[in-house]
Amino acid sequence: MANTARRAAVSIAKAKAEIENLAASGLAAELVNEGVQPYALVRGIEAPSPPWDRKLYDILFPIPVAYDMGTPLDAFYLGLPYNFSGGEHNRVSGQVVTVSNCQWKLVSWHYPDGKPFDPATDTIESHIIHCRGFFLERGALNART
Amino acid sequence: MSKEEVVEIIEKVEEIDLFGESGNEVAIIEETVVEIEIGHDNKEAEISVELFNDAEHQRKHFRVAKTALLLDVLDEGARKLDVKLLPNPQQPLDLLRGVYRDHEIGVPLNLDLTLAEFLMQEPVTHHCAVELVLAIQINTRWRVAPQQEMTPRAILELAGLSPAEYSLYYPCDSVEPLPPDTPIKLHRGQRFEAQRDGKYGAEGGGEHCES
Repeated sequence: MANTARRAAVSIAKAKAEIENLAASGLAAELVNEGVQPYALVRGIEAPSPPWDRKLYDILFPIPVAYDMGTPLDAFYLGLPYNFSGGEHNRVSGQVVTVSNCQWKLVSWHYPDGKPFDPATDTIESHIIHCRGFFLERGALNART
Repeated sequence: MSKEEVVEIIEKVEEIDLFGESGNEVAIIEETVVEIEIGHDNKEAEISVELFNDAEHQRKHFRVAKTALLLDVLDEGARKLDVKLLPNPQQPLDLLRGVYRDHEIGVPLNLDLTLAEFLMQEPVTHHCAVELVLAIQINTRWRVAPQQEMTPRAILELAGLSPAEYSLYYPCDSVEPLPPDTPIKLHRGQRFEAQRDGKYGAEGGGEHCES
């Protein structure tokens, strides 16, 4: 019997091209899939150590299947295990997923209200730098709230 | 049997005025160059290179296949001069220029030309200058800075990033953004990070991230 279930069309050619360009520029970025969900996996994000337990971290973030249509990027996952100041970071607190045989925990780091990821100007590259800001505690508009 | 052919004789002797360590004026007499093709049935040519704007005009010589691209000549010239092309030898922002009589420097050469094609152009020269441009990096984007001093606002615009949306950081692990309108002196290879601001979400779990 034919499967009549409707599935969202995957439109990530632009994301693939961006990741290929980043990889060509020397950034350890690759596109990986877990089921139907594509992710950008980026290795070697620099972090200050201490308080982080190492200087390089791997991060992961989902590529929306309609990325090419303008669906924005947001948040990221941190590879497990990790250690921050002898324990856990209170913003590394979301769901855990298994991708590429590794476990990843969602980090609560977003774009500010009124200044979301803008598909017209922002890219996977700029999102990676935005994510790096989390490790540095940089550019957090609500850092003191 | 190898062949020899005089390609070019630069008979003019030039004096370049400089000041020695003692402060006394000294004169350097540039050697007269006789360029000779040797062997290989003229499949190679001898090239000399110097750094653009090098007051001492120190030259390095090497042989290159005429089928090589000027991109390869630039790469080999940079190696001989012991300088590094930016961002990489495959797609450099740096330039190669012809050097003609009386040290007249030509326009940047098309690096896609073969050496043979270049040597067919008048005036003919086997002497080139490697120009190291003021290449800076913003995130993974390389750009040539048009000025030695630029404001962070102008640097962001150079990289195609809106200063209203992005902050510029230097050094890259700096936590405080550079003041957008305070000019900074740039150096070749300088690396900046441009970051959009962020905000922390909920503490203690419960967040989900869906495609």
